[in-house]
Amino acid sequence: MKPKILIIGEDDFSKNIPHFVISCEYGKAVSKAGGLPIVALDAMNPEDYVKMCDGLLLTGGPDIHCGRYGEFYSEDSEFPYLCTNRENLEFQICKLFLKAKKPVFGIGRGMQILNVVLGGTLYRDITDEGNNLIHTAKVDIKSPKAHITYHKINVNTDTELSKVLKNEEVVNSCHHQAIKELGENFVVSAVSEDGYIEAIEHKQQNAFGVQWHPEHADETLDADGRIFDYFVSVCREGLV
Amino acid sequence: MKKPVILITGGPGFDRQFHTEARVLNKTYTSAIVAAGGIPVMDLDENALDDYVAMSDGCIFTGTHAFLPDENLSMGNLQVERINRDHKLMHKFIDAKKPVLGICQGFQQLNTAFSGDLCINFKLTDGVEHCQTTHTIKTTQGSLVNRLFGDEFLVNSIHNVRVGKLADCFVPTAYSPDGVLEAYEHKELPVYGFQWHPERMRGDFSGCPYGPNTDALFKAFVEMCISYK
Repeated sequence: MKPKILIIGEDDFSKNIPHFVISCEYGKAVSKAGGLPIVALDAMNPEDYVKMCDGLLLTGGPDIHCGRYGEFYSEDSEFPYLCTNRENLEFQICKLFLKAKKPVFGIGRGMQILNVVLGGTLYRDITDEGNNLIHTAKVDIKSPKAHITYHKINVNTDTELSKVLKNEEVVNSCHHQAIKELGENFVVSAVSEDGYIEAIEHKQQNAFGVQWHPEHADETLDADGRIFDYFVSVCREGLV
Repeated sequence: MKKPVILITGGPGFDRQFHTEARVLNKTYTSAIVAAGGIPVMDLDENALDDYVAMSDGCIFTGTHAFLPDENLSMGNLQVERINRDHKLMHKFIDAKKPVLGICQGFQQLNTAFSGDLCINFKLTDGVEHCQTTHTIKTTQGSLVNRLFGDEFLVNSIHNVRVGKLADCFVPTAYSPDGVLEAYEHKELPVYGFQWHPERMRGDFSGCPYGPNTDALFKAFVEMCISYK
Protein backbone atom coordinates (compact mmCIF):
# COMPACT_ATOMS: atom_id res chain seq x y z
CA MET A 1 0.00 0.00 0.00
CA LYS A 2 1.21 3.51 -0.83
CA PRO A 3 1.75 5.88 2.10
CA LYS A 4 -0.76 8.74 1.99
CA ILE A 5 1.01 12.12 1.95
CA LEU A 6 -1.06 15.13 2.99
CA ILE A 7 -0.20 18.31 1.09
CA ILE A 8 -1.18 21.78 2.25
CA GLY A 9 -1.60 24.18 -0.63
CA GLU A 10 -2.43 27.83 -0.99
CA ASP A 11 -5.74 28.90 0.49
CA ASP A 12 -6.50 32.36 -0.72
CA PHE A 13 -8.63 34.79 -2.67
CA SER A 14 -9.00 35.46 -6.35
CA LYS A 15 -11.71 37.63 -7.94
CA ASN A 16 -13.31 37.70 -4.45
CA ILE A 17 -13.97 33.94 -4.58
CA PRO A 18 -12.05 31.99 -1.93
CA HIS A 19 -10.27 29.00 -3.44
CA PHE A 20 -7.53 26.43 -2.96
CA VAL A 21 -4.52 26.33 -5.32
CA ILE A 22 -1.80 23.68 -5.33
CA SER A 23 1.06 23.23 -7.80
CA CYS A 24 0.94 19.84 -9.55
CA GLU A 25 4.72 19.55 -9.08
CA TYR A 26 4.29 18.50 -5.44
CA GLY A 27 1.94 15.71 -6.48
CA LYS A 28 4.30 14.52 -9.20
CA ALA A 29 7.30 14.44 -6.84
CA VAL A 30 5.37 12.51 -4.16
CA SER A 31 3.95 9.96 -6.60
CA LYS A 32 7.32 9.46 -8.31
CA ALA A 33 8.73 8.53 -4.89
CA GLY A 34 5.89 6.01 -4.36
CA GLY A 35 3.45 8.02 -2.20
CA LEU A 36 -0.18 8.97 -2.79
CA PRO A 37 -0.57 12.78 -2.70
CA ILE A 38 -3.72 14.04 -0.94
CA VAL A 39 -4.60 17.73 -0.76
CA ALA A 40 -6.18 19.00 2.49
CA LEU A 41 -9.31 21.13 1.92
CA ASP A 42 -10.62 21.90 5.40
CA ALA A 43 -9.05 24.03 8.13
CA MET A 44 -11.78 23.29 10.70
CA ASN A 45 -11.10 19.59 11.34
CA PRO A 46 -7.36 19.00 10.85
CA GLU A 47 -7.41 15.90 13.09
CA ASP A 48 -9.39 14.06 10.37
CA TYR A 49 -6.42 14.40 8.01
CA VAL A 50 -3.90 13.37 10.67
CA LYS A 51 -5.81 10.10 11.17
CA MET A 52 -6.12 9.53 7.42
CA CYS A 53 -2.54 10.26 6.31
CA ASP A 54 0.94 8.83 6.95
CA GLY A 55 2.99 11.98 6.40
CA LEU A 56 2.70 15.75 5.95
CA LEU A 57 4.26 17.88 3.19
CA LEU A 58 4.37 21.61 3.94
CA THR A 59 4.87 23.50 0.68
CA GLY A 60 6.48 26.72 -0.48
CA GLY A 61 4.78 30.10 -0.44
CA PRO A 62 4.79 33.66 0.87
CA ASP A 63 6.27 35.02 4.12
CA ILE A 64 5.05 33.73 7.48
CA HIS A 65 3.46 36.48 9.59
CA CYS A 66 6.34 37.74 11.78
CA GLY A 67 4.05 37.78 14.85
CA ARG A 68 4.33 33.98 14.77
CA TYR A 69 7.91 34.34 16.01
CA GLY A 70 7.48 37.31 18.30
CA GLU A 71 8.11 40.27 15.99
CA PHE A 72 5.80 42.96 14.62
CA TYR A 73 5.44 45.16 11.54
CA SER A 74 6.26 48.69 12.68
CA GLU A 75 4.59 50.28 9.65
CA ASP A 76 1.73 49.25 7.36
CA SER A 77 4.12 49.31 4.40
CA GLU A 78 6.11 46.49 6.01
CA PHE A 79 3.26 44.00 5.68
CA PRO A 80 4.21 41.46 3.04
CA TYR A 81 1.83 39.33 0.96
CA LEU A 82 0.25 37.16 3.69
CA CYS A 83 -1.93 34.04 3.68
CA THR A 84 -3.68 33.92 7.04
CA ASN A 85 -6.15 31.08 6.40
CA ARG A 86 -3.47 28.78 5.03
CA GLU A 87 -1.12 29.66 7.87
CA ASN A 88 -3.71 28.76 10.51
CA LEU A 89 -4.14 25.32 8.95
CA GLU A 90 -0.38 24.81 8.57
CA PHE A 91 0.35 25.60 12.21
CA GLN A 92 -2.49 23.46 13.55
CA ILE A 93 -1.83 20.47 11.37
CA CYS A 94 1.96 20.57 11.75
CA LYS A 95 1.59 20.42 15.55
CA LEU A 96 -0.83 17.50 15.26
CA PHE A 97 1.47 15.49 12.96
CA LEU A 98 4.44 16.11 15.26
CA LYS A 99 2.38 15.05 18.28
CA ALA A 100 1.30 11.88 16.45
CA LYS A 101 5.00 11.22 15.61
CA LYS A 102 4.14 11.06 11.90
CA PRO A 103 6.75 12.33 9.41
CA VAL A 104 6.73 16.00 8.36
CA PHE A 105 8.69 17.41 5.43
CA GLY A 106 8.83 21.18 4.91
CA ILE A 107 9.88 22.85 1.66
CA GLY A 108 10.83 26.56 1.52
CA ARG A 109 8.15 28.32 3.56
CA GLY A 110 7.25 24.82 4.81
CA MET A 111 10.67 24.39 6.45
CA GLN A 112 10.25 27.80 8.07
CA ILE A 113 6.79 26.79 9.36
CA LEU A 114 8.27 23.65 10.92
CA ASN A 115 10.99 25.72 12.58
CA VAL A 116 8.62 28.41 13.88
CA VAL A 117 6.08 25.85 15.15
CA LEU A 118 8.80 24.54 17.47
CA GLY A 119 9.80 27.99 18.66
CA GLY A 120 12.41 29.00 16.08
CA THR A 121 12.75 32.43 14.46
CA LEU A 122 13.44 33.83 10.98
CA TYR A 123 15.43 36.55 9.27
CA ARG A 124 12.66 38.64 7.75
CA ASP A 125 14.74 39.72 4.77
CA ILE A 126 18.21 38.37 4.13
CA THR A 127 18.73 40.92 1.40
CA ASP A 128 18.98 43.36 4.35
CA GLU A 129 21.57 41.27 6.17
CA GLY A 130 24.50 42.17 3.94
CA ASN A 131 24.36 38.93 2.03
CA ASN A 132 25.56 38.56 -1.53
CA LEU A 133 22.14 37.87 -3.08
CA ILE A 134 22.79 34.31 -4.13
CA HIS A 135 19.48 33.21 -2.64
CA THR A 136 17.13 34.95 -4.99
CA ALA A 137 17.49 36.73 -8.29
CA LYS A 138 14.96 39.38 -7.30
CA VAL A 139 12.55 39.98 -4.45
CA ASP A 140 9.24 41.76 -4.28
CA ILE A 141 7.65 41.06 -0.91
CA LYS A 142 4.29 42.32 -2.18
CA SER A 143 4.20 39.58 -4.81
CA PRO A 144 4.30 35.81 -4.38
CA LYS A 145 6.11 35.31 -7.72
CA ALA A 146 9.54 33.73 -7.17
CA HIS A 147 12.77 34.24 -9.10
CA ILE A 148 15.09 31.27 -9.19
CA THR A 149 18.85 31.12 -8.93
CA TYR A 150 21.27 28.31 -7.97
CA HIS A 151 24.02 27.90 -5.37
CA LYS A 152 26.05 25.29 -3.50
CA ILE A 153 25.25 23.89 -0.07
CA ASN A 154 27.43 21.96 2.38
CA VAL A 155 25.77 19.04 4.10
CA ASN A 156 26.71 18.28 7.72
CA THR A 157 27.98 14.75 8.20
CA ASP A 158 26.36 12.68 10.96
CA THR A 159 22.92 14.05 10.09
CA GLU A 160 20.07 11.92 8.73
CA LEU A 161 20.00 14.00 5.56
CA SER A 162 23.70 13.28 4.94
CA LYS A 163 22.60 9.71 4.24
CA VAL A 164 20.73 10.90 1.13
CA LEU A 165 22.68 14.05 0.24
CA LYS A 166 26.33 14.29 -0.82
CA ASN A 167 28.73 16.49 1.19
CA GLU A 168 28.24 19.19 -1.39
CA GLU A 169 25.15 19.71 -3.56
CA VAL A 170 23.88 22.37 -5.95
CA VAL A 171 20.31 23.47 -5.23
CA ASN A 172 17.84 25.97 -6.65
CA SER A 173 17.09 29.04 -4.56
CA CYS A 174 14.34 31.65 -4.50
CA HIS A 175 13.77 32.95 -1.00
CA HIS A 176 14.41 36.18 0.85
CA GLN A 177 13.76 34.86 4.36
CA ALA A 178 15.87 32.33 6.25
CA ILE A 179 16.07 30.56 9.59
CA LYS A 180 17.69 32.66 12.34
CA GLU A 181 17.33 30.65 15.57
CA LEU A 182 16.53 26.94 15.44
CA GLY A 183 13.32 25.57 16.93
CA GLU A 184 13.45 23.11 19.80
CA ASN A 185 15.27 19.84 19.08
CA PHE A 186 16.32 20.82 15.56
CA VAL A 187 19.85 20.52 14.19
CA VAL A 188 21.26 22.08 11.04
CA SER A 189 21.66 19.52 8.22
CA ALA A 190 23.01 21.84 5.54
CA VAL A 191 24.25 25.41 5.11
CA SER A 192 24.83 27.62 2.06
CA GLU A 193 28.27 28.92 1.08
CA ASP A 194 27.45 32.21 2.79
CA GLY A 195 26.30 30.52 5.98
CA TYR A 196 22.49 30.47 5.85
CA ILE A 197 20.61 27.41 7.07
CA GLU A 198 19.51 25.37 4.04
CA ALA A 199 18.19 22.23 5.75
CA ILE A 200 17.14 21.21 9.27
CA GLU A 201 16.12 17.96 10.92
CA HIS A 202 14.58 17.01 14.25
CA LYS A 203 16.78 15.05 16.65
CA GLN A 204 14.08 12.69 17.87
CA GLN A 205 11.53 12.19 15.10
CA ASN A 206 11.09 12.27 11.34
CA ALA A 207 10.61 16.00 10.83
CA PHE A 208 12.90 17.82 8.45
CA GLY A 209 12.95 20.65 5.97
CA VAL A 210 14.91 22.16 3.12
CA GLN A 211 15.05 25.80 2.06
CA TRP A 212 15.25 24.97 -1.66
CA HIS A 213 12.53 23.50 -3.91
CA PRO A 214 13.22 19.83 -4.70
CA GLU A 215 9.74 19.51 -6.31
CA HIS A 216 10.52 22.20 -8.91
CA ALA A 217 11.74 19.84 -11.59
CA ASP A 218 15.31 20.29 -12.73
CA GLU A 219 16.93 17.15 -14.11
CA THR A 220 20.43 18.40 -13.31
CA LEU A 221 19.74 18.44 -9.55
CA ASP A 222 19.67 14.76 -8.64
CA ALA A 223 19.49 15.41 -4.89
CA ASP A 224 15.88 16.44 -5.40
CA GLY A 225 14.53 12.98 -6.24
CA ARG A 226 16.56 11.39 -3.43
CA ILE A 227 15.05 13.65 -0.81
CA PHE A 228 11.47 12.76 -1.83
CA ASP A 229 12.41 9.06 -1.89
CA TYR A 230 13.73 9.46 1.65
CA PHE A 231 10.57 11.24 2.86
CA VAL A 232 8.19 8.68 1.35
CA SER A 233 10.30 5.81 2.73
CA VAL A 234 10.06 7.12 6.31
CA CYS A 235 6.29 7.58 5.82
CA ARG A 236 6.08 3.96 4.64
CA GLU A 237 7.79 2.78 7.85
CA GLY A 238 4.93 4.27 9.84
CA LEU A 239 2.22 2.55 7.79
CA VAL A 240 -0.09 0.42 9.89
CA MET B 1 -20.17 7.68 13.18
CA LYS B 2 -17.19 7.61 10.85
CA LYS B 3 -17.01 10.61 8.53
CA PRO B 4 -17.01 9.83 4.81
CA VAL B 5 -14.10 10.96 2.62
CA ILE B 6 -15.33 12.99 -0.36
CA LEU B 7 -13.00 13.49 -3.31
CA ILE B 8 -13.44 16.88 -5.00
CA THR B 9 -11.47 17.12 -8.23
CA GLY B 10 -11.36 20.85 -9.01
CA GLY B 11 -10.08 22.42 -12.19
CA PRO B 12 -6.84 23.56 -13.80
CA GLY B 13 -4.86 26.73 -13.19
CA PHE B 14 -1.43 27.98 -12.27
CA ASP B 15 0.62 28.25 -9.09
CA ARG B 16 1.48 31.78 -8.00
CA GLN B 17 5.04 31.07 -6.94
CA PHE B 18 6.53 29.39 -10.03
CA HIS B 19 3.63 29.78 -12.49
CA THR B 20 3.64 26.00 -12.92
CA GLU B 21 0.50 23.98 -13.66
CA ALA B 22 -1.74 23.82 -10.59
CA ARG B 23 -5.09 22.51 -9.41
CA VAL B 24 -7.70 25.00 -8.30
CA LEU B 25 -10.88 24.53 -6.29
CA ASN B 26 -13.52 27.01 -5.24
CA LYS B 27 -13.97 26.74 -1.48
CA THR B 28 -17.76 26.84 -1.66
CA TYR B 29 -17.66 23.11 -2.55
CA THR B 30 -15.43 22.20 0.38
CA SER B 31 -17.42 24.32 2.90
CA ALA B 32 -20.63 22.57 1.80
CA ILE B 33 -19.09 19.14 2.43
CA VAL B 34 -17.53 20.14 5.76
CA ALA B 35 -20.86 21.58 6.96
CA ALA B 36 -22.59 18.31 5.97
CA GLY B 37 -20.07 16.21 7.95
CA GLY B 38 -17.74 14.91 5.23
CA ILE B 39 -13.96 15.14 4.88
CA PRO B 40 -13.05 16.85 1.60
CA VAL B 41 -9.83 15.82 -0.17
CA MET B 42 -8.34 16.53 -3.59
CA ASP B 43 -6.35 14.14 -5.80
CA LEU B 44 -3.00 15.24 -7.29
CA ASP B 45 -1.78 12.27 -9.34
CA GLU B 46 -3.56 11.37 -12.59
CA ASN B 47 -1.83 7.96 -12.62
CA ALA B 48 -3.26 6.88 -9.26
CA LEU B 49 -7.00 7.25 -9.91
CA ASP B 50 -7.77 3.74 -8.55
CA ASP B 51 -6.09 4.64 -5.24
CA TYR B 52 -8.29 7.73 -4.90
CA VAL B 53 -11.46 5.75 -5.70
CA ALA B 54 -10.46 3.13 -3.09
CA MET B 55 -9.88 5.70 -0.32
CA SER B 56 -12.97 7.84 -1.07
CA ASP B 57 -16.62 7.21 -0.21
CA GLY B 58 -17.98 9.59 -2.84
CA CYS B 59 -16.93 12.19 -5.40
CA ILE B 60 -17.95 15.65 -6.58
CA PHE B 61 -17.13 16.81 -10.10
CA THR B 62 -17.17 20.59 -10.04
CA GLY B 63 -17.59 23.61 -12.24
CA THR B 64 -14.72 25.52 -13.79
CA HIS B 65 -12.66 28.05 -11.95
CA ALA B 66 -9.46 28.59 -13.92
CA PHE B 67 -6.86 30.53 -11.93
CA LEU B 68 -4.39 32.62 -13.94
CA PRO B 69 -2.04 34.65 -11.70
CA ASP B 70 -0.53 36.31 -14.78
CA GLU B 71 -2.36 37.46 -17.90
CA ASN B 72 0.47 36.08 -20.08
CA LEU B 73 -0.32 32.52 -19.01
CA SER B 74 -2.56 30.44 -21.25
CA MET B 75 -4.74 27.46 -20.33
CA GLY B 76 -3.66 25.58 -23.49
CA ASN B 77 -4.65 21.91 -23.19
CA LEU B 78 -5.24 21.95 -19.44
CA GLN B 79 -9.07 21.85 -19.76
CA VAL B 80 -8.86 18.90 -22.18
CA GLU B 81 -6.54 17.02 -19.80
CA ARG B 82 -8.90 17.77 -16.93
CA ILE B 83 -11.90 16.39 -18.85
CA ASN B 84 -9.97 13.22 -19.81
CA ARG B 85 -9.00 12.62 -16.20
CA ASP B 86 -12.50 13.34 -14.89
CA HIS B 87 -14.09 11.01 -17.48
CA LYS B 88 -11.88 8.14 -16.28
CA LEU B 89 -12.67 8.92 -12.63
CA MET B 90 -16.42 9.11 -13.35
CA HIS B 91 -16.41 5.60 -14.82
CA LYS B 92 -14.34 4.27 -11.91
CA PHE B 93 -16.61 5.76 -9.23
CA ILE B 94 -19.75 4.54 -10.98
CA ASP B 95 -18.23 1.06 -11.51
CA ALA B 96 -17.52 1.04 -7.76
CA LYS B 97 -21.18 2.11 -7.18
CA LYS B 98 -20.02 4.99 -4.98
CA PRO B 99 -22.14 8.19 -4.80
CA VAL B 100 -21.32 10.96 -7.29
CA LEU B 101 -22.41 14.59 -7.69
CA GLY B 102 -21.83 16.46 -10.94
CA ILE B 103 -22.19 20.23 -10.76
CA CYS B 104 -22.16 22.65 -13.76
CA GLN B 105 -19.21 21.48 -15.90
CA GLY B 106 -19.19 18.28 -13.81
CA PHE B 107 -22.90 17.79 -14.71
CA GLN B 108 -22.10 18.29 -18.40
CA GLN B 109 -19.02 16.05 -18.47
CA LEU B 110 -20.72 13.27 -16.50
CA ASN B 111 -23.29 13.21 -19.33
CA THR B 112 -20.63 13.04 -22.07
CA ALA B 113 -18.70 10.33 -20.13
CA PHE B 114 -21.76 8.07 -20.66
CA SER B 115 -22.34 8.97 -24.35
CA GLY B 116 -24.63 11.97 -23.94
CA ASP B 117 -23.80 15.20 -25.77
CA LEU B 118 -23.76 18.98 -25.24
CA CYS B 119 -24.89 22.16 -27.02
CA ILE B 120 -22.09 24.71 -26.82
CA ASN B 121 -23.06 28.40 -26.66
CA PHE B 122 -26.73 27.42 -26.81
CA LYS B 123 -27.95 30.99 -26.40
CA LEU B 124 -27.21 31.51 -30.13
CA THR B 125 -29.41 28.58 -31.17
CA ASP B 126 -32.02 28.61 -28.41
CA GLY B 127 -32.28 32.37 -27.94
CA VAL B 128 -32.07 32.21 -24.12
CA GLU B 129 -29.54 33.66 -21.69
CA HIS B 130 -28.44 31.42 -18.78
CA CYS B 131 -25.27 33.24 -17.71
CA GLN B 132 -25.12 35.32 -14.50
CA THR B 133 -28.86 35.14 -13.85
CA THR B 134 -31.54 33.51 -11.70
CA HIS B 135 -34.51 31.47 -12.86
CA THR B 136 -36.99 28.88 -11.59
CA ILE B 137 -36.81 25.16 -12.29
CA LYS B 138 -39.64 22.59 -12.31
CA THR B 139 -38.79 19.21 -10.83
CA THR B 140 -40.03 15.69 -11.53
CA GLN B 141 -42.17 13.93 -8.87
CA GLY B 142 -40.20 11.45 -6.80
CA SER B 143 -36.75 12.76 -7.76
CA LEU B 144 -34.16 13.73 -5.14
CA VAL B 145 -34.49 17.48 -5.82
CA ASN B 146 -38.26 17.21 -5.74
CA ARG B 147 -38.21 15.41 -2.38
CA LEU B 148 -35.78 17.93 -0.92
CA PHE B 149 -37.00 21.24 -2.37
CA GLY B 150 -40.45 20.77 -3.94
CA ASP B 151 -42.03 21.16 -7.39
CA GLU B 152 -40.65 24.58 -8.32
CA PHE B 153 -37.93 26.85 -6.91
CA LEU B 154 -35.34 29.49 -7.80
CA VAL B 155 -31.75 28.61 -8.73
CA ASN B 156 -28.66 30.50 -9.85
CA SER B 157 -27.50 30.15 -13.46
CA ILE B 158 -23.91 30.56 -14.72
CA HIS B 159 -23.39 28.60 -17.96
CA ASN B 160 -23.13 28.89 -21.75
CA VAL B 161 -23.22 25.13 -22.40
CA ARG B 162 -26.26 22.89 -21.89
CA VAL B 163 -26.92 19.17 -22.11
CA GLY B 164 -28.17 18.08 -25.57
CA LYS B 165 -28.84 14.34 -25.72
CA LEU B 166 -29.04 12.90 -22.21
CA ALA B 167 -27.04 9.70 -21.64
CA ASP B 168 -29.22 6.55 -21.47
CA CYS B 169 -28.25 5.79 -17.86
CA PHE B 170 -29.76 9.08 -16.60
CA VAL B 171 -33.33 10.39 -16.25
CA PRO B 172 -34.13 14.14 -16.35
CA THR B 173 -35.35 15.51 -12.99
CA ALA B 174 -35.62 19.28 -13.58
CA TYR B 175 -36.02 21.79 -16.43
CA SER B 176 -35.93 25.59 -16.65
CA PRO B 177 -39.05 27.37 -18.04
CA ASP B 178 -37.26 27.72 -21.42
CA GLY B 179 -36.56 24.01 -21.67
CA VAL B 180 -32.93 23.71 -20.53
CA LEU B 181 -32.14 20.50 -18.62
CA GLU B 182 -31.26 21.57 -15.07
CA ALA B 183 -30.91 18.25 -13.19
CA TYR B 184 -30.77 14.51 -13.79
CA GLU B 185 -30.19 11.40 -11.77
CA HIS B 186 -28.95 7.89 -12.53
CA LYS B 187 -31.59 5.20 -13.13
CA GLU B 188 -30.09 2.81 -10.56
CA LEU B 189 -27.16 4.38 -8.71
CA PRO B 190 -26.71 7.33 -6.30
CA VAL B 191 -25.46 9.66 -9.05
CA TYR B 192 -26.93 13.17 -9.36
CA GLY B 193 -26.22 16.07 -11.69
CA PHE B 194 -27.08 19.78 -11.44
CA GLN B 195 -26.58 22.47 -14.04
CA TRP B 196 -26.95 25.14 -11.32
CA HIS B 197 -24.64 25.63 -8.36
CA PRO B 198 -26.18 24.25 -5.16
CA GLU B 199 -22.87 24.89 -3.33
CA ARG B 200 -23.59 28.61 -3.78
CA MET B 201 -27.13 28.40 -2.39
CA ARG B 202 -26.29 27.59 1.21
CA GLY B 203 -27.34 29.87 4.05
CA ASP B 204 -23.90 31.38 4.62
CA PHE B 205 -23.20 32.28 0.99
CA SER B 206 -23.72 35.91 0.03
CA GLY B 207 -25.47 36.08 -3.32
CA CYS B 208 -28.00 33.27 -2.82
CA PRO B 209 -30.79 33.47 -5.42
CA TYR B 210 -33.67 33.39 -2.86
CA GLY B 211 -34.13 29.68 -3.52
CA PRO B 212 -34.02 26.97 -0.87
CA ASN B 213 -31.04 26.54 1.48
CA THR B 214 -29.23 23.64 -0.16
CA ASP B 215 -27.56 22.36 3.02
CA ALA B 216 -30.13 19.54 2.84
CA LEU B 217 -28.75 18.37 -0.51
CA PHE B 218 -25.16 18.06 0.73
CA LYS B 219 -26.41 16.42 3.92
CA ALA B 220 -28.31 13.87 1.82
CA PHE B 221 -25.22 13.24 -0.33
CA VAL B 222 -22.92 12.76 2.69
CA GLU B 223 -25.49 10.35 4.20
CA MET B 224 -25.49 8.33 0.97
CA CYS B 225 -21.69 8.15 1.17
CA ILE B 226 -21.95 6.89 4.78
CA SER B 227 -24.59 4.28 3.97
CA TYR B 228 -22.45 3.00 1.08
CA LYS B 229 -19.69 2.31 3.63
